[in-house]
Amino acid sequence: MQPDEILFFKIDDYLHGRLSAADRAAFEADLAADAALAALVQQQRRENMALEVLNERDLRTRMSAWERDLPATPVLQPAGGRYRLRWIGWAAAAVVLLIAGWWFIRPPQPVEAPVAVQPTTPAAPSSKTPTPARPNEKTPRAEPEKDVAKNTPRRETPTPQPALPAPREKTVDYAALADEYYRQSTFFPSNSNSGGTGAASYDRAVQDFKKGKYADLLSQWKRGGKLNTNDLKVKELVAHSLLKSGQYDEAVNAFREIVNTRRQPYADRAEWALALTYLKQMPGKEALLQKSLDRILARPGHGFYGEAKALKGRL
Amino acid sequence: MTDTNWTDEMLLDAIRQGGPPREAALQAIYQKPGLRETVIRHVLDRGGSRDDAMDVFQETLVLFDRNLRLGRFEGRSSLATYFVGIARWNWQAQRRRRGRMAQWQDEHYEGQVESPEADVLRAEHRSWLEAVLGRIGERCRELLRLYQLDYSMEEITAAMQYANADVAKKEAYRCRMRFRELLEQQPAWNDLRNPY
Repeated sequence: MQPDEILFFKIDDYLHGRLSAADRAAFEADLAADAALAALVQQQRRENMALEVLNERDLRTRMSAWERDLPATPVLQPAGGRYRLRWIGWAAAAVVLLIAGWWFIRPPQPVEAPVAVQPTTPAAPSSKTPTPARPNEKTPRAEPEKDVAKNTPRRETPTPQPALPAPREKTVDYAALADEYYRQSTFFPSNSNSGGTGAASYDRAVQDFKKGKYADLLSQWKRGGKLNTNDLKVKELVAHSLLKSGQYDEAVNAFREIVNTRRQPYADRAEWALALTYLKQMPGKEALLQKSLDRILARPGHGFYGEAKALKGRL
Repeated sequence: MTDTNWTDEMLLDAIRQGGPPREAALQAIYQKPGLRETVIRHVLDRGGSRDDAMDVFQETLVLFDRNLRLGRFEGRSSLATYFVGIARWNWQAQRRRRGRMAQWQDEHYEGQVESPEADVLRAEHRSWLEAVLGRIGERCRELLRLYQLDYSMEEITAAMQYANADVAKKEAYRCRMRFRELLEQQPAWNDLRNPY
Protein backbone atom coordinates (compact mmCIF):
# COMPACT_ATOMS: atom_id res chain seq x y z
CA MET A 1 0.00 0.00 0.00
CA GLN A 2 1.05 3.56 -0.68
CA PRO A 3 1.85 5.81 2.32
CA ASP A 4 -1.28 7.89 1.61
CA GLU A 5 -3.42 4.77 1.77
CA ILE A 6 -1.81 3.62 4.99
CA LEU A 7 -2.41 7.01 6.57
CA PHE A 8 -6.01 7.06 5.33
CA PHE A 9 -6.81 3.72 6.95
CA LYS A 10 -5.00 4.67 10.14
CA ILE A 11 -7.07 7.84 10.44
CA ASP A 12 -10.21 5.87 9.73
CA ASP A 13 -9.30 3.30 12.38
CA TYR A 14 -8.85 6.18 14.81
CA LEU A 15 -12.18 7.75 13.87
CA HIS A 16 -14.01 4.43 14.13
CA GLY A 17 -12.44 3.64 17.51
CA ARG A 18 -10.56 0.62 16.18
CA LEU A 19 -7.15 1.54 17.62
CA SER A 20 -5.88 0.01 20.84
CA ALA A 21 -5.54 2.37 23.82
CA ALA A 22 -1.78 2.64 23.32
CA ASP A 23 -2.05 3.30 19.57
CA ARG A 24 -4.79 5.80 20.19
CA ALA A 25 -2.70 7.72 22.72
CA ALA A 26 0.28 7.75 20.36
CA PHE A 27 -1.89 8.91 17.48
CA GLU A 28 -3.39 11.70 19.57
CA ALA A 29 0.10 12.84 20.55
CA ASP A 30 0.98 13.06 16.84
CA LEU A 31 -2.25 14.93 16.21
CA ALA A 32 -1.46 17.53 18.84
CA ALA A 33 1.95 18.15 17.30
CA ASP A 34 1.04 18.06 13.62
CA ALA A 35 -1.47 20.59 12.27
CA ALA A 36 -1.48 19.01 8.82
CA LEU A 37 -2.41 15.64 10.29
CA ALA A 38 -5.13 17.30 12.38
CA ALA A 39 -6.56 18.88 9.24
CA LEU A 40 -6.59 15.50 7.49
CA VAL A 41 -8.41 13.92 10.43
CA GLN A 42 -10.95 16.72 10.38
CA GLN A 43 -11.49 16.28 6.64
CA GLN A 44 -12.00 12.55 6.98
CA ARG A 45 -14.38 13.03 9.90
CA ARG A 46 -16.55 15.33 7.81
CA GLU A 47 -16.52 12.93 4.92
CA ASN A 48 -17.60 10.12 7.24
CA MET A 49 -20.48 12.27 8.37
CA ALA A 50 -21.44 12.89 4.74
CA LEU A 51 -21.45 9.13 4.19
CA GLU A 52 -24.03 8.80 6.96
CA VAL A 53 -26.57 9.66 4.25
CA LEU A 54 -25.93 6.17 2.83
CA ASN A 55 -26.52 4.51 6.18
CA GLU A 56 -29.67 6.46 6.69
CA ARG A 57 -31.04 5.50 3.31
CA ASP A 58 -30.19 1.86 3.91
CA LEU A 59 -31.79 1.91 7.33
CA ARG A 60 -34.99 3.40 5.92
CA THR A 61 -35.16 0.64 3.32
CA ARG A 62 -34.74 -1.93 6.06
CA MET A 63 -37.43 -0.28 8.15
CA SER A 64 -39.87 -0.66 5.25
CA ALA A 65 -39.09 -4.38 5.20
CA TRP A 66 -39.37 -4.74 8.99
CA GLU A 67 -42.67 -2.92 8.87
CA ARG A 68 -44.11 -5.71 6.75
CA ASP A 69 -43.21 -8.27 9.44
CA LEU A 70 -45.11 -6.40 12.11
CA PRO A 71 -48.70 -7.05 13.09
CA ALA A 72 -50.94 -4.06 12.40
CA THR A 73 -50.55 -1.43 15.11
CA PRO A 74 -53.83 -0.52 16.78
CA VAL A 75 -54.88 2.96 15.76
CA LEU A 76 -54.15 5.21 18.71
CA GLN A 77 -56.13 8.34 19.30
CA PRO A 78 -54.93 11.40 21.16
CA ALA A 79 -55.60 11.03 24.88
CA GLY A 80 -59.09 12.53 25.11
CA GLY A 81 -58.10 15.21 22.61
CA ARG A 82 -57.06 17.36 25.58
CA TYR A 83 -54.34 19.10 23.68
CA ARG A 84 -56.52 20.06 20.71
CA LEU A 85 -59.47 21.04 22.87
CA ARG A 86 -57.25 23.36 24.86
CA TRP A 87 -56.07 25.06 21.69
CA ILE A 88 -59.56 25.32 20.28
CA GLY A 89 -60.71 26.92 23.55
CA TRP A 90 -57.93 29.50 23.46
CA ALA A 91 -58.54 30.27 19.79
CA ALA A 92 -62.28 30.77 20.38
CA ALA A 93 -61.58 33.09 23.34
CA ALA A 94 -59.15 35.14 21.20
CA VAL A 95 -61.75 35.52 18.42
CA VAL A 96 -64.42 36.69 20.91
CA LEU A 97 -62.01 39.22 22.41
CA LEU A 98 -61.07 40.57 18.97
CA ILE A 99 -64.70 41.03 17.95
CA ALA A 100 -65.57 42.70 21.27
CA GLY A 101 -62.53 44.99 20.99
CA TRP A 102 -63.41 46.01 17.46
CA TRP A 103 -67.04 46.73 18.50
CA PHE A 104 -65.93 49.10 21.24
CA ILE A 105 -63.25 51.01 19.34
CA ARG A 106 -64.87 51.24 15.89
CA PRO A 107 -65.54 54.85 14.71
CA PRO A 108 -69.12 56.09 15.15
CA GLN A 109 -71.22 55.33 12.05
CA PRO A 110 -73.10 58.27 10.43
CA VAL A 111 -76.83 57.83 10.64
CA GLU A 112 -78.20 57.64 7.14
CA ALA A 113 -81.63 58.65 6.05
CA PRO A 114 -83.64 55.72 4.81
CA VAL A 115 -83.63 55.51 1.01
CA ALA A 116 -85.92 53.79 -1.34
CA VAL A 117 -84.66 50.46 -2.54
CA GLN A 118 -83.68 50.64 -6.21
CA PRO A 119 -83.78 47.63 -8.47
CA THR A 120 -80.22 46.35 -8.76
CA THR A 121 -78.42 46.50 -12.07
CA PRO A 122 -75.17 44.77 -12.92
CA ALA A 123 -72.24 46.99 -12.06
CA ALA A 124 -70.58 48.59 -15.02
CA PRO A 125 -67.04 47.40 -15.60
CA SER A 126 -64.60 49.64 -13.85
CA SER A 127 -62.97 52.11 -16.15
CA LYS A 128 -59.92 52.20 -13.91
CA THR A 129 -56.83 50.79 -15.52
CA PRO A 130 -54.52 48.82 -13.28
CA THR A 131 -51.74 51.01 -12.07
CA PRO A 132 -48.21 49.67 -12.03
CA ALA A 133 -46.88 48.82 -8.62
CA ARG A 134 -44.76 51.48 -7.03
CA PRO A 135 -41.15 50.56 -6.41
CA ASN A 136 -41.64 49.89 -2.73
CA GLU A 137 -44.91 48.15 -3.14
CA LYS A 138 -44.93 44.43 -2.56
CA THR A 139 -45.93 42.52 -5.64
CA PRO A 140 -46.84 38.87 -5.57
CA ARG A 141 -43.95 36.76 -6.80
CA ALA A 142 -44.39 34.07 -9.34
CA GLU A 143 -44.06 30.55 -7.92
CA PRO A 144 -40.83 28.88 -8.99
CA GLU A 145 -41.27 26.52 -11.87
CA LYS A 146 -41.67 22.87 -10.99
CA ASP A 147 -39.49 21.68 -13.82
CA VAL A 148 -36.07 22.27 -12.41
CA ALA A 149 -34.22 20.10 -14.88
CA LYS A 150 -33.60 22.88 -17.34
CA ASN A 151 -30.25 24.40 -16.71
CA THR A 152 -30.93 27.60 -18.58
CA PRO A 153 -31.36 30.43 -16.15
CA ARG A 154 -34.82 31.99 -16.19
CA ARG A 155 -35.01 35.50 -17.50
CA GLU A 156 -36.82 37.78 -15.20
CA THR A 157 -38.28 41.16 -15.98
CA PRO A 158 -36.17 43.67 -14.12
CA THR A 159 -38.26 45.20 -11.38
CA PRO A 160 -37.17 47.95 -9.08
CA GLN A 161 -36.68 45.78 -6.04
CA PRO A 162 -33.98 45.94 -3.43
CA ALA A 163 -30.83 44.20 -4.61
CA LEU A 164 -30.80 40.68 -3.25
CA PRO A 165 -28.29 37.97 -4.03
CA ALA A 166 -29.73 35.88 -6.83
CA PRO A 167 -30.75 32.45 -5.57
CA ARG A 168 -28.86 29.59 -7.10
CA GLU A 169 -30.90 27.74 -9.66
CA LYS A 170 -31.79 24.28 -8.40
CA THR A 171 -30.99 21.54 -10.86
CA VAL A 172 -31.84 17.88 -10.62
CA ASP A 173 -29.74 15.25 -12.28
CA TYR A 174 -32.50 12.70 -12.77
CA ALA A 175 -30.23 9.94 -14.02
CA ALA A 176 -28.04 10.31 -10.94
CA LEU A 177 -31.13 10.38 -8.76
CA ALA A 178 -32.32 7.15 -10.35
CA ASP A 179 -28.91 5.56 -9.75
CA GLU A 180 -29.02 6.74 -6.19
CA TYR A 181 -32.36 5.09 -5.51
CA TYR A 182 -31.59 1.96 -7.49
CA ARG A 183 -30.29 -0.51 -4.96
CA GLN A 184 -29.19 -3.72 -6.61
CA SER A 185 -29.17 -5.50 -3.26
CA THR A 186 -32.87 -4.69 -2.85
CA PHE A 187 -33.75 -6.55 -6.01
CA PHE A 188 -31.10 -9.22 -5.83
CA PRO A 189 -29.91 -9.63 -2.24
CA SER A 190 -26.60 -11.40 -1.76
CA ASN A 191 -28.41 -14.51 -0.50
CA SER A 192 -30.84 -14.47 -3.45
CA ASN A 193 -30.35 -17.60 -5.43
CA SER A 194 -32.33 -20.53 -6.57
CA GLY A 195 -32.62 -21.58 -2.96
CA GLY A 196 -31.06 -24.92 -3.66
CA THR A 197 -33.69 -25.86 -6.21
CA GLY A 198 -31.04 -26.74 -8.70
CA ALA A 199 -31.52 -23.68 -10.90
CA ALA A 200 -27.79 -23.15 -11.16
CA SER A 201 -28.15 -21.33 -14.45
CA TYR A 202 -30.25 -18.66 -12.72
CA ASP A 203 -27.60 -18.27 -10.01
CA ARG A 204 -24.94 -17.86 -12.66
CA ALA A 205 -27.10 -15.31 -14.45
CA VAL A 206 -27.47 -13.29 -11.24
CA GLN A 207 -23.70 -13.35 -10.80
CA ASP A 208 -23.30 -12.12 -14.39
CA PHE A 209 -25.81 -9.38 -13.72
CA LYS A 210 -23.94 -8.29 -10.62
CA LYS A 211 -20.76 -8.14 -12.66
CA GLY A 212 -22.48 -5.87 -15.20
CA LYS A 213 -22.63 -8.42 -18.03
CA TYR A 214 -26.07 -7.27 -19.13
CA ALA A 215 -25.51 -7.80 -22.85
CA ASP A 216 -24.33 -11.40 -22.31
CA LEU A 217 -27.33 -12.07 -20.16
CA LEU A 218 -29.79 -10.65 -22.64
CA SER A 219 -28.31 -12.54 -25.57
CA GLN A 220 -28.42 -15.75 -23.53
CA TRP A 221 -32.08 -15.06 -22.76
CA LYS A 222 -32.87 -14.33 -26.40
CA ARG A 223 -31.20 -17.56 -27.46
CA GLY A 224 -33.48 -19.34 -25.03
CA GLY A 225 -30.66 -21.27 -23.45
CA LYS A 226 -30.82 -22.95 -20.08
CA LEU A 227 -32.77 -20.15 -18.41
CA ASN A 228 -36.42 -20.96 -17.82
CA THR A 229 -37.94 -17.89 -19.40
CA ASN A 230 -41.34 -18.46 -17.80
CA ASP A 231 -39.87 -18.19 -14.35
CA LEU A 232 -40.78 -14.84 -12.76
CA LYS A 233 -37.32 -14.54 -11.23
CA VAL A 234 -35.77 -14.82 -14.68
CA LYS A 235 -38.21 -12.28 -16.08
CA GLU A 236 -37.25 -9.91 -13.30
CA LEU A 237 -33.56 -10.39 -14.03
CA VAL A 238 -34.14 -9.76 -17.73
CA ALA A 239 -36.16 -6.61 -16.99
CA HIS A 240 -33.36 -5.25 -14.85
CA SER A 241 -30.79 -6.10 -17.52
CA LEU A 242 -32.87 -4.15 -20.03
CA LEU A 243 -33.03 -1.20 -17.65
CA LYS A 244 -29.32 -1.32 -16.92
CA SER A 245 -28.43 -1.50 -20.59
CA GLY A 246 -30.57 1.55 -21.36
CA GLN A 247 -33.37 -0.29 -23.23
CA TYR A 248 -36.01 1.59 -21.30
CA ASP A 249 -39.11 0.89 -23.41
CA GLU A 250 -38.44 -2.84 -23.30
CA ALA A 251 -37.70 -2.62 -19.58
CA VAL A 252 -41.01 -0.83 -18.97
CA ASN A 253 -42.92 -3.59 -20.78
CA ALA A 254 -41.08 -6.28 -18.87
CA PHE A 255 -41.70 -4.66 -15.47
CA ARG A 256 -45.37 -4.06 -16.30
CA GLU A 257 -45.77 -7.72 -17.14
CA ILE A 258 -44.40 -8.65 -13.71
CA VAL A 259 -46.58 -6.08 -11.92
CA ASN A 260 -49.65 -7.53 -13.64
CA THR A 261 -48.97 -11.00 -12.24
CA ARG A 262 -49.56 -9.49 -8.73
CA ARG A 263 -47.24 -12.11 -7.30
CA GLN A 264 -45.29 -10.83 -4.33
CA PRO A 265 -42.61 -9.77 -3.70
CA TYR A 266 -41.99 -9.55 -7.45
CA ALA A 267 -44.91 -7.22 -8.20
CA ASP A 268 -43.92 -4.60 -5.62
CA ARG A 269 -40.28 -4.74 -6.68
CA ALA A 270 -41.26 -4.39 -10.33
CA GLU A 271 -43.53 -1.44 -9.57
CA TRP A 272 -40.66 0.36 -7.87
CA ALA A 273 -38.25 -0.55 -10.66
CA LEU A 274 -40.81 0.79 -13.15
CA ALA A 275 -40.82 4.13 -11.34
CA LEU A 276 -37.01 4.20 -11.45
CA THR A 277 -37.08 3.42 -15.17
CA TYR A 278 -39.31 6.44 -15.73
CA LEU A 279 -37.05 8.50 -13.49
CA LYS A 280 -34.13 7.62 -15.75
CA GLN A 281 -36.07 9.12 -18.65
CA MET A 282 -37.03 12.36 -16.95
CA PRO A 283 -38.18 14.98 -17.67
CA GLY A 284 -39.89 13.33 -20.67
CA LYS A 285 -41.71 10.74 -18.58
CA GLU A 286 -42.81 12.98 -15.76
CA ALA A 287 -46.51 12.13 -15.98
CA LEU A 288 -45.80 8.40 -16.00
CA LEU A 289 -43.35 8.71 -13.13
CA GLN A 290 -45.83 10.64 -11.00
CA LYS A 291 -48.56 8.14 -11.79
CA SER A 292 -46.40 5.18 -10.87
CA LEU A 293 -45.26 6.81 -7.61
CA ASP A 294 -48.88 7.65 -6.76
CA ARG A 295 -49.84 4.02 -7.26
CA ILE A 296 -47.19 2.94 -4.76
CA LEU A 297 -48.15 5.67 -2.31
CA ALA A 298 -51.81 4.69 -2.51
CA ARG A 299 -50.88 1.49 -0.67
CA PRO A 300 -49.07 2.15 2.65
CA GLY A 301 -48.24 -1.55 2.91
CA HIS A 302 -46.34 -1.46 -0.39
CA GLY A 303 -42.83 -2.80 -0.05
CA PHE A 304 -41.38 0.44 -1.40
CA TYR A 305 -43.76 2.94 0.15
CA GLY A 306 -40.99 4.65 2.12
CA GLU A 307 -38.70 4.93 -0.88
CA ALA A 308 -41.48 6.27 -3.10
CA LYS A 309 -42.39 8.85 -0.48
CA ALA A 310 -38.78 9.95 -0.17
CA LEU A 311 -38.35 10.14 -3.93
CA LYS A 312 -41.54 12.11 -4.40
CA GLY A 313 -40.27 14.57 -1.84
CA ARG A 314 -37.12 15.05 -3.87
CA LEU A 315 -38.87 15.74 -7.16
CA MET B 1 -34.11 -12.56 15.33
CA THR B 2 -36.94 -11.16 17.39
CA ASP B 3 -36.92 -14.21 19.63
CA THR B 4 -33.58 -13.08 21.14
CA ASN B 5 -33.94 -11.51 24.56
CA TRP B 6 -31.87 -8.43 24.05
CA THR B 7 -30.51 -6.58 27.05
CA ASP B 8 -29.40 -2.95 26.73
CA GLU B 9 -25.80 -4.08 26.94
CA MET B 10 -26.27 -6.56 24.10
CA LEU B 11 -27.99 -3.97 21.94
CA LEU B 12 -25.30 -1.41 22.56
CA ASP B 13 -22.50 -3.86 21.81
CA ALA B 14 -24.17 -5.07 18.63
CA ILE B 15 -24.78 -1.58 17.28
CA ARG B 16 -21.26 -0.48 18.05
CA GLN B 17 -19.86 -3.64 16.51
CA GLY B 18 -21.52 -2.76 13.19
CA GLY B 19 -22.26 -5.15 10.33
CA PRO B 20 -24.93 -7.85 10.68
CA PRO B 21 -25.12 -7.67 14.52
CA ARG B 22 -26.02 -3.98 14.24
CA GLU B 23 -28.80 -4.73 11.78
CA ALA B 24 -30.24 -7.42 14.04
CA ALA B 25 -30.14 -5.08 17.03
CA LEU B 26 -31.82 -2.25 15.13
CA GLN B 27 -34.55 -4.59 13.94
CA ALA B 28 -35.14 -5.67 17.54
CA ILE B 29 -35.48 -2.04 18.60
CA TYR B 30 -37.75 -1.23 15.69
CA GLN B 31 -40.04 -4.10 16.61
CA LYS B 32 -39.75 -3.78 20.39
CA PRO B 33 -43.26 -4.03 21.83
CA GLY B 34 -44.50 -0.77 23.31
CA LEU B 35 -41.74 1.50 22.03
CA ARG B 36 -43.48 2.53 18.84
CA GLU B 37 -46.78 3.00 20.66
CA THR B 38 -45.12 5.31 23.20
CA VAL B 39 -43.73 7.50 20.41
CA ILE B 40 -47.00 7.50 18.48
CA ARG B 41 -48.96 8.41 21.58
CA HIS B 42 -46.57 11.28 22.34
CA VAL B 43 -46.91 12.77 18.85
CA LEU B 44 -50.69 12.29 18.64
CA ASP B 45 -51.17 13.92 22.03
CA ARG B 46 -49.19 16.93 20.88
CA GLY B 47 -51.06 17.79 17.76
CA GLY B 48 -49.41 15.45 15.25
CA SER B 49 -51.00 13.05 12.83
CA ARG B 50 -50.35 9.35 12.57
CA ASP B 51 -48.08 9.96 9.56
CA ASP B 52 -46.13 12.51 11.61
CA ALA B 53 -45.79 9.91 14.36
CA MET B 54 -44.40 7.26 12.01
CA ASP B 55 -41.98 9.77 10.50
CA VAL B 56 -40.78 10.68 13.98
CA PHE B 57 -40.42 7.04 14.98
CA GLN B 58 -38.33 6.20 11.91
CA GLU B 59 -36.24 9.37 12.11
CA THR B 60 -35.61 8.57 15.76
CA LEU B 61 -34.18 5.18 14.91
CA VAL B 62 -31.79 6.83 12.43
CA LEU B 63 -30.59 9.31 15.08
CA PHE B 64 -30.47 6.64 17.76
CA ASP B 65 -28.28 4.40 15.61
CA ARG B 66 -25.96 7.25 14.68
CA ASN B 67 -25.60 8.51 18.24
CA LEU B 68 -24.80 5.06 19.57
CA ARG B 69 -22.22 4.39 16.88
CA LEU B 70 -20.59 7.77 17.42
CA GLY B 71 -20.39 7.22 21.17
CA ARG B 72 -22.82 10.00 22.10
CA PHE B 73 -24.88 7.83 24.43
CA GLU B 74 -23.42 8.18 27.89
CA GLY B 75 -25.44 5.49 29.60
CA ARG B 76 -27.32 7.80 31.94
CA SER B 77 -30.65 6.14 31.15
CA SER B 78 -31.97 2.92 29.67
CA LEU B 79 -31.88 2.66 25.88
CA ALA B 80 -35.68 2.75 25.68
CA THR B 81 -35.78 5.98 27.70
CA TYR B 82 -33.04 7.39 25.52
CA PHE B 83 -34.98 6.43 22.39
CA VAL B 84 -38.15 8.11 23.62
CA GLY B 85 -36.12 11.18 24.61
CA ILE B 86 -34.82 11.50 21.05
CA ALA B 87 -38.36 11.07 19.71
CA ARG B 88 -39.70 13.82 21.99
CA TRP B 89 -36.90 16.15 20.98
CA ASN B 90 -37.40 15.25 17.33
CA TRP B 91 -41.12 16.01 17.35
CA GLN B 92 -40.48 19.27 19.14
CA ALA B 93 -37.88 20.20 16.54
CA GLN B 94 -40.29 19.36 13.71
CA ARG B 95 -43.05 21.48 15.20
CA ARG B 96 -40.63 24.32 15.67
CA ARG B 97 -39.59 24.09 12.03
CA ARG B 98 -43.24 24.20 11.03
CA GLY B 99 -43.70 27.32 13.10
CA ARG B 100 -46.13 25.78 15.56
CA MET B 101 -43.99 26.73 18.52
CA ALA B 102 -42.83 30.25 19.17
CA GLN B 103 -39.69 29.30 20.97
CA TRP B 104 -37.51 26.42 21.86
CA GLN B 105 -38.43 24.78 25.09
CA ASP B 106 -35.67 23.76 27.40
CA GLU B 107 -36.04 20.10 26.68
CA HIS B 108 -33.23 18.02 25.27
CA TYR B 109 -31.88 14.54 25.33
CA GLU B 110 -28.50 13.31 26.31
CA GLY B 111 -26.06 13.53 23.44
CA GLN B 112 -28.21 15.78 21.31
CA VAL B 113 -25.60 18.52 21.19
CA GLU B 114 -24.46 18.11 17.63
CA SER B 115 -20.88 18.19 16.52
CA PRO B 116 -19.82 20.68 13.85
CA GLU B 117 -19.47 17.72 11.48
CA ALA B 118 -23.17 17.03 11.80
CA ASP B 119 -23.80 20.27 9.92
CA VAL B 120 -23.02 18.19 6.89
CA LEU B 121 -26.23 16.29 7.38
CA ARG B 122 -28.54 19.25 7.65
CA ALA B 123 -31.44 19.35 5.26
CA GLU B 124 -30.07 22.08 3.03
CA HIS B 125 -27.05 19.95 2.15
CA ARG B 126 -28.92 16.74 1.53
CA SER B 127 -29.78 17.34 -2.07
CA TRP B 128 -26.31 17.96 -3.44
CA LEU B 129 -24.81 15.36 -1.14
CA GLU B 130 -27.15 12.72 -2.47
CA ALA B 131 -26.35 13.88 -6.00
CA VAL B 132 -22.63 13.39 -5.31
CA LEU B 133 -23.29 9.92 -3.96
CA GLY B 134 -25.35 9.23 -7.06
CA ARG B 135 -22.29 9.96 -9.18
CA ILE B 136 -19.83 7.59 -7.57
CA GLY B 137 -21.55 4.52 -8.97
CA GLU B 138 -23.55 1.82 -7.29
CA ARG B 139 -20.69 -0.50 -6.41
CA CYS B 140 -18.67 2.28 -4.84
CA ARG B 141 -21.69 3.45 -2.87
CA GLU B 142 -22.37 0.00 -1.52
CA LEU B 143 -18.70 -0.58 -0.72
CA LEU B 144 -18.42 2.71 1.15
CA ARG B 145 -21.63 2.03 3.02
CA LEU B 146 -20.45 -1.37 4.20
CA TYR B 147 -17.06 -0.01 5.14
CA GLN B 148 -18.64 2.90 6.99
CA LEU B 149 -20.77 0.46 8.96
CA ASP B 150 -17.73 -1.45 10.15
CA TYR B 151 -18.16 -4.52 8.03
CA SER B 152 -14.82 -6.30 7.98
CA MET B 153 -12.89 -6.43 4.72
CA GLU B 154 -13.57 -10.18 4.64
CA GLU B 155 -17.30 -9.59 4.93
CA ILE B 156 -17.13 -6.93 2.22
CA THR B 157 -15.11 -9.27 0.00
CA ALA B 158 -17.79 -11.95 0.35
CA ALA B 159 -20.73 -9.60 -0.06
CA MET B 160 -19.34 -7.86 -3.10
CA GLN B 161 -17.45 -10.75 -4.63
CA TYR B 162 -13.96 -9.29 -4.67
CA ALA B 163 -11.04 -11.63 -5.23
CA ASN B 164 -9.69 -11.04 -1.72
CA ALA B 165 -9.66 -8.59 1.18
CA ASP B 166 -6.66 -6.66 -0.21
CA VAL B 167 -8.49 -5.98 -3.44
CA ALA B 168 -11.55 -4.86 -1.46
CA LYS B 169 -9.41 -2.51 0.62
CA LYS B 170 -7.76 -1.00 -2.46
CA GLU B 171 -11.18 -0.50 -3.99
CA ALA B 172 -12.50 1.11 -0.80
CA TYR B 173 -9.66 3.61 -0.92
CA ARG B 174 -10.19 4.32 -4.61
CA CYS B 175 -13.92 4.90 -4.05
CA ARG B 176 -13.29 7.12 -1.10
CA MET B 177 -10.87 9.26 -3.06
CA ARG B 178 -13.40 9.53 -5.87
CA PHE B 179 -15.99 10.63 -3.32
CA ARG B 180 -13.56 13.20 -1.93
CA GLU B 181 -12.82 14.56 -5.39
CA LEU B 182 -16.52 14.98 -6.17
CA LEU B 183 -17.18 16.59 -2.80
CA GLU B 184 -14.44 19.10 -3.38
CA GLN B 185 -16.06 20.16 -6.63
CA GLN B 186 -19.06 21.33 -4.62
CA PRO B 187 -18.98 24.97 -3.54
CA ALA B 188 -21.28 24.12 -0.63
CA TRP B 189 -18.79 21.55 0.66
CA ASN B 190 -16.00 24.09 0.62
CA ASP B 191 -18.26 26.56 2.42
CA LEU B 192 -18.81 23.94 5.09
CA ARG B 193 -15.10 23.34 5.43
CA ASN B 194 -14.32 27.03 5.70
CA PRO B 195 -17.38 28.62 7.25
CA TYR B 196 -15.76 32.01 7.88
